[in-house]
Amino acid sequence: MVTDDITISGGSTEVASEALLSARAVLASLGHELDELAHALRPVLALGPAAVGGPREVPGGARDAVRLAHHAATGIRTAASHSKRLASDLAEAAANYDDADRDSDASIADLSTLAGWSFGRLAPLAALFGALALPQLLATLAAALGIGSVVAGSPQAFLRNLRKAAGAKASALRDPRVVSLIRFAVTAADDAMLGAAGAPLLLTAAVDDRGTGAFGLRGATSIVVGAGRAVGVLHETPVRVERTSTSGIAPPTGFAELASRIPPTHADSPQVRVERYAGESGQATYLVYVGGTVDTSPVAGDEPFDLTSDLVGVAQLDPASVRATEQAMREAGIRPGDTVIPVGYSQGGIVATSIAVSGDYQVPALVTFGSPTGGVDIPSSTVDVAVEHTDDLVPALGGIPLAADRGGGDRIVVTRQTFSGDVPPDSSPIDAHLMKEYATTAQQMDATSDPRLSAVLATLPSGAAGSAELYRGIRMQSSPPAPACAPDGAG
Amino acid sequence: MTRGGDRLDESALQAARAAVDYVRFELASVVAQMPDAADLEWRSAAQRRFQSRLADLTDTVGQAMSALDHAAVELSQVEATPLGTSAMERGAAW
Repeated sequence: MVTDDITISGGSTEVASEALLSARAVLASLGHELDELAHALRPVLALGPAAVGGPREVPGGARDAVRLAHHAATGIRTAASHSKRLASDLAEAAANYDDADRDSDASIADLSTLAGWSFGRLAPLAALFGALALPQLLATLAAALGIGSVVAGSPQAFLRNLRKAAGAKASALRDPRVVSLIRFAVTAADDAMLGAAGAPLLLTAAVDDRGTGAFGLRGATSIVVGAGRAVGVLHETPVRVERTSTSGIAPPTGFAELASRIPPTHADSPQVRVERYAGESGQATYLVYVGGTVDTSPVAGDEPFDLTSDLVGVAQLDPASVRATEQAMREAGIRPGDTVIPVGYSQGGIVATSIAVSGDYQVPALVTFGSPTGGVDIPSSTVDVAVEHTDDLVPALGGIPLAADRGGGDRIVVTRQTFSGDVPPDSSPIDAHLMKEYATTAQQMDATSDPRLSAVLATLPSGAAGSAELYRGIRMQSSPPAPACAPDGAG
Repeated sequence: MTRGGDRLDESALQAARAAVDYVRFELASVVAQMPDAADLEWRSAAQRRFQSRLADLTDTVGQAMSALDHAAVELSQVEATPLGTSAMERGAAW
């Protein structure tokens, strides 16, 4: 059901829920209306003494009516004044909340530097204690396994029960507080690595994402990718693309349509959709829709939208999914300098963001759903809309974004919690990340009157129908063979 | 305006009654349009105070409506009573 429960923040640094903005507008309007109603009582007030030449000449019933109308008019004028002041205060409250929210985020982010670094510095000590306690730990685990196996009937049954219990607790990962904690931990991960490596706190603060960004989340993920490659996983490969279909299509008119056109996350299916709309001036506008992660194995198969591309993408190391999308764009006729609006879901958001920051295209708008791209700063020429559920882990993996007034990008962030009340006990942590939930949020975005979102929709092409092409990217497990020497000896 | 010094002019009376009816109707519309405090997200003390202020505002408009309800009754009695003596408050001082 479409409800009014999204919150829109950023984009000119104003934070307010749609309901709050709506209440402010209604109260301002009612204030003016009440003023007019107080004036509308003049014919009654005109029956008073001034109009009839003296108090004794006014009939008694009319005197009471005038007195009551005067009382009502005073009340209506008071209500008008209160309504207008309330509207104004509401705007101020929203702005104050924005400041508090931004300052709070900045403080939390600053704290992540110290917390991460401290954790890293203490890690060797913790490892030493862990090593010393290892015999006791192993003994305890063995005892627990023995007792548990007897109670459950067999070691297999005990482990099965243990897995079941862990699965039941997994729903806690949908708790927005846990998601925030994970976002904090991700933000602190680079500081922890530097702390563990013995870097001083001042140096850590200087090179993390709060500082120069020389290391940061990108650097930390690069180390993870490097470590993975050392043990035989997360290896990148060349890619190729094939066009799977071409059709005619009308331009999208809202966020729900943008969301619905992102290729669904299915194995052996196209992951990229390119739409072309010819403009009146002959300049075409392209919409590039990119889907999410298909294969979660750390070993690259033939699917470029996999875990390897996820991590390589966060490390901004040219993942296969980005290369496949760029190839699809080239095959669709997109050239450097063309106008492109990238739209992505999950890993597709990493790809879309990569297109936006490449500098190769004119990108008036970027729309991502559930993507871990909070740490990437988008050029100010691009209106960046990030849709993130507060109970979705995936966008939290992008860390805490740098605030716009601290040098970060001025993102418009649309958030929603996908459940109300307590976390549904049997739900999966991935439920809030499902595209169908983001499609619901997109419908709510279309239902708002927020000018920031309207400005984004204004960048979409309109008018005549265009064409849509679907592309499937495929990893190639080895580099393509070098072309044989041409008969004429060229090459 | 009065006619003969002790009776209200008919058109002035009709205009007054129409004004009261119009404002009563519009005030009811205003109350219906008031934002629902339950729809808002309360994320700061300032926003929480909004709830009680909204209740005060609605109460003020309600009192005005009540006064106009009584005014309408009084005006209807003026029409029924040529001298316009108040049935509710006969002889009350101005």
